[in-house]
Amino acid sequence: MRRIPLLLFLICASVGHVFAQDALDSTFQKIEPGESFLKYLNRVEENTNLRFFYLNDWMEPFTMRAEFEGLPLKRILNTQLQESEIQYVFLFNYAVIFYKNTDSSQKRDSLIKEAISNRVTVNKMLIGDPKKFVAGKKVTLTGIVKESEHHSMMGNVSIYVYELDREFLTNKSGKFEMSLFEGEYLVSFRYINYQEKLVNLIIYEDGELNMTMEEAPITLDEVVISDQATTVRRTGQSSIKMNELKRQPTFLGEADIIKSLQVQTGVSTVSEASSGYNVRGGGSDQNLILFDNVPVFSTSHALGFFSAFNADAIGNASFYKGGIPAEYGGRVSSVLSLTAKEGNYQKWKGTGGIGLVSSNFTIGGPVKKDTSSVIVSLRTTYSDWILNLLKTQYKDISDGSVFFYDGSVKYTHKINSRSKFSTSVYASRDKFSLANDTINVWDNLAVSVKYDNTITDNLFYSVGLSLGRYAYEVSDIDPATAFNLNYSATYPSLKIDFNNDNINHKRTFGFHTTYYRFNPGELDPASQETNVKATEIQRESAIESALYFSDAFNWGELFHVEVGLRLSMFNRIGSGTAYTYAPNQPLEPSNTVDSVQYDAGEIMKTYIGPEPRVAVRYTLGPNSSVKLGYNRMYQYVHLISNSASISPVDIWQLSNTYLKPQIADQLSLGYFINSKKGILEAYVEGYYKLQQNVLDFKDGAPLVMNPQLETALLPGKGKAYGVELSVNKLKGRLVGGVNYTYSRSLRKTDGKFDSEKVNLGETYPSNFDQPHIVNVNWKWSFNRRLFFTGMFTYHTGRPVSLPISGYILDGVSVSDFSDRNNYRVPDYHRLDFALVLEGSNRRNRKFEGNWSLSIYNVYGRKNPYSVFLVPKGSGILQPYQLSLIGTPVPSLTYSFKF
Amino acid sequence: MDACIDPMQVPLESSGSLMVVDGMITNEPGPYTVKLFYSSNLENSSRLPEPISNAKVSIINSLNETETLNETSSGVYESTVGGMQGVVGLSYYLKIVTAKGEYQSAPQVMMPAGNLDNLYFEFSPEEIVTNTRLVDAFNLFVDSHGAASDPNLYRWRWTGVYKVKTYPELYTKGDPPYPAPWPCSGYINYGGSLTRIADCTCCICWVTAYSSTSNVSDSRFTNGYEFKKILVGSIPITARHFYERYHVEVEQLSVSEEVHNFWDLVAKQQAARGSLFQPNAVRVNGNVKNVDNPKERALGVFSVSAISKKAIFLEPKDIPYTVPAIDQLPYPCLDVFGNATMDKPGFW
Repeated sequence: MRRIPLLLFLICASVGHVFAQDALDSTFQKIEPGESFLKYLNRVEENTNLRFFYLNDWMEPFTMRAEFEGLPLKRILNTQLQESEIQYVFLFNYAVIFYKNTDSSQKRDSLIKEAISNRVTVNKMLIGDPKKFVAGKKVTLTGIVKESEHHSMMGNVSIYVYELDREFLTNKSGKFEMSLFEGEYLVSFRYINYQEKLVNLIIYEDGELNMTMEEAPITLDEVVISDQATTVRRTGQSSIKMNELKRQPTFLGEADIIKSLQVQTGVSTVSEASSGYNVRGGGSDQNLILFDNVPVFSTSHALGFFSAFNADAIGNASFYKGGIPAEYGGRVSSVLSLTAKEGNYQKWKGTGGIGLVSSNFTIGGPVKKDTSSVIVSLRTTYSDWILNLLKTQYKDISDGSVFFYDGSVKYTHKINSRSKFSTSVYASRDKFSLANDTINVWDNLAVSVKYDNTITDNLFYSVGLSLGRYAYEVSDIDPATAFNLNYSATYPSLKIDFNNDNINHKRTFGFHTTYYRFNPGELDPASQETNVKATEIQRESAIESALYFSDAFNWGELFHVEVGLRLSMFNRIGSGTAYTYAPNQPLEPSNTVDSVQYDAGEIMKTYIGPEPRVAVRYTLGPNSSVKLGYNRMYQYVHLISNSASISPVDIWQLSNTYLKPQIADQLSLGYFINSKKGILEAYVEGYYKLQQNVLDFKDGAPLVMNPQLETALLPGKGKAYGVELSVNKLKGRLVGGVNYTYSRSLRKTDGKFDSEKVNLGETYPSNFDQPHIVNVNWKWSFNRRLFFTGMFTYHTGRPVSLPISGYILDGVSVSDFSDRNNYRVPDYHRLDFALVLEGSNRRNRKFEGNWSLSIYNVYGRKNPYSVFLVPKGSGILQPYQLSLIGTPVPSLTYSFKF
Repeated sequence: MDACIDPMQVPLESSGSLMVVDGMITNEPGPYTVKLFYSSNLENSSRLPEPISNAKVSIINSLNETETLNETSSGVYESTVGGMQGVVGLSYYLKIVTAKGEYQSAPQVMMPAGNLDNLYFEFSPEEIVTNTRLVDAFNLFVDSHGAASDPNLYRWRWTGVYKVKTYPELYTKGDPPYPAPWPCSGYINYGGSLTRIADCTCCICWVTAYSSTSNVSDSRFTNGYEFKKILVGSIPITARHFYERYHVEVEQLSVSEEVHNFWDLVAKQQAARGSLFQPNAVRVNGNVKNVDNPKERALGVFSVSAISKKAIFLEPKDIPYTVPAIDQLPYPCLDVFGNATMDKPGFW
């Protein structure tokens, strides 16, 4: 043993001669795999002039590996010592001095001190016997992360090891595994809306670390629970902080997940009250919205004033607008995945809210303690008075009535430590009638059953069966014209997903298939004297299936790569009728030359879509990274709507021979930076997106009850591009952010015939082209209970086609419209405030009540909801804008938790 | 909470005015009229449209017979009395030659008019909005049928005639006002008081009104040739409209598919007014095209229609209340009411 004071050598190093490092670049000795590193070093010393200085026990754990054969000594040393605390210097061209790096332990100590000063508890965890310390030996740490109240397993929890500057994630069953060198580490467990957990881990042998995450209580508010750091998150991904959602100003007191999305970069909305949203220049039908993995088609309540999800029922929400993982498909612009909360496994707990428009109540608890739990959530309106509030000359609105409810139930059962069963039901209904005798009712249903199983520690799978349904009914009760118009889309589906988490590779693969059964329209006479004749459009069926595979891995030190491929296949199947149109003639009902009948189950048309997905992160430094994302996506169901925002009588149409799948290719590139202490984060991200087969309309073409819908629609090309800038302050008394987006969304519809072109085949702005968007939001904490929050939003008015001239023909005035989308409505801007008083800070209080006072539209901006056309002079239509909300709207909400 | 309607502050540059064609040939005796004029933009919408004069206008049928129309007033072209008359089964097209070029409509076959079986009405409170005021009305309905073998594409329009009375003797001048009766009133100012010296010759007239909405058949949800209780118009109930009674005639016009499309789109445009779910703009293209430059947009239609019609009187007794007396307008009848005549119509 050569014990040499380290300091001495370092001083020597500065005075002695430093020769070229040639000696280390040479190859020495034959490698004998399995031989101890120590022995190898001895053999090298025996045969060369090289001398090694070390502590024996430092070197003991290392053994020689076959792949070292033929490598220069330097490479062998580097590889052996990689990720260990042991480093070396080479001096005088003969001495190799090994030493232990103490930097990381100093850094760790300061981090722990800082955490303690921030009132984050640091748990010390010792695994193994320190006396048996063998430096450099690799050990494996495994564990499970659970939720404290519900005892449910938590997937996607970020486990950050400071010493390695590396992030690990738990898999869907809450498990994680990492390989470390023996030693001391500072490990941070983080999950959005949950309290950060810090562990000072001292590990000497393989071991287990199980962690319980607690929902962030108010007491800890000074420590902001950060989301995954922006630099680590994949490109185009974001999460919504559910507890912050309730502190934002609201319209009439309804906390709204979808509305909170609309202030993120790259997400916009066309009008005042619209729950439909547009992501990076895509249509509102291009957003996949999943409730416990079941797509939900209609996402708004009450003409778009509110979204269809009760915030209290949602446990987790993730949103992707670019670099979309291969496990998602079927819509081309974005994914919003909502996971319903699970009931508490220990005791019964509830939350509720009483607002001006609606009330909601959620209660959950154990069916059998520690084994199974149930949670029920319900929200409903009181009355029609929201519409009656709107003082307007527009009789149809103020005489109308509106009603909605939504509810969900989720049951989870832990079969054993390796498997879990859960079932979830979501249902919503909306009803509104205008002054004329028409009643509109629409329904959503999403039922799912899921079984999760862990086969081995690294392999996890889940099987899900689900049923989704979207339906609406329009009824006319005037006896002379009475009718019921029914539309429905039913879509059962099967999903099998596998997760294979290794230390270096996270692989997911699976198979999804969905059967679609659409009833595109059924018109029934509803009275004896009605002039309506029963009509039914043939039902349509299709199967959409997909196989996917994706692999996430670190490539070298600096790159994190996720590559995936989704192979989707769409089969339009019978029974059905396919029409043939005269060649070289426009696609018009009058040019139908033939129709072919298909029997039930017969394949009418097949499309296959390879969808590559790539997300790459390049780490520039501890606080900054560059991210690149590419995805191609296919969409086989299309929303056909003749109104600019989502309306209840929206028709979803399956692809067929003429309505080809929409395809989008998106390339995005972003630069992300965090300030050192994580107080500030900022990013700039650009994207370029091309879309094929996006649909526009022929003027006035009939959409409802049209068996040949392809003759009413025009396929075109879409192009969208933009730059998104965002700066956020995450910690301190004042938190908030500012973002700005410049983006364009353009269309080109250039069919063969004049009647199949829009604007003569020239490029024109899409309905939701809004070049400038600015959002500002803040939260000022007076103390731990009282907050002043607010937001400001601005966006360019959306494009619109307006009447530009007119004439009177046989006594009837006719307007001549501009080229499509040649004008814009006035710009939209709005400021909202909220004052939030939260209940007791004490963690164990039984009952907690919160008050929220909101002012929506503080300075009373009259933002356009829709454009009216009112005849003027000789019958020419003059455009008028209707603003539903033209004054500040205050509201008071009380919510409670027990 | 206030919902508000404001004129949209969008700069509108005036579009280049386009030629509008308003013409028709029917199976009833002529003369037929074709009007040519330019469309108006928002700035000049209150002015009369600018007529297009000195065009050569003719109607040509499938027997290759040509009827040339003569310009009887600026921009108004009429066929000769006793000239061509439309015949069901033949096809017709319009040809226009102006300084800008030659325009034609596609040939259209005159289809049978079907049978307008029944014309009836129902009282409907607060049916019509006039100057943001809601007015009661009679809704007019028709029952009709065509032949199952025909396309049965129809358009309905109505012509209303009602008698009104004015009070030209009540005209005053000066301050303080003194009676200054119109001479045709039959009164004079005799020493400061009104004295009747003759019958009034300008107090009564008959006003003609036309349908201002587009009403077309929609066979998609019916059996295609039977139409029941089709709403074809609404007649406002006011003291002026029901001074005595109201005569209304409804015509059922057979139209070609192109013309049906045109009026159908116009109807959609009208339905779009004030719709809560703002539909996309409806651009209505006509059926007359520049022969040499198909990209040039011409507006309006030339229709080829056979007519079936029915007329009824709407009486004040059908109104569930007493209509107030007509307001006392101190002017001669024709000065106040446009589109009116002093000649009593034959059916009155």
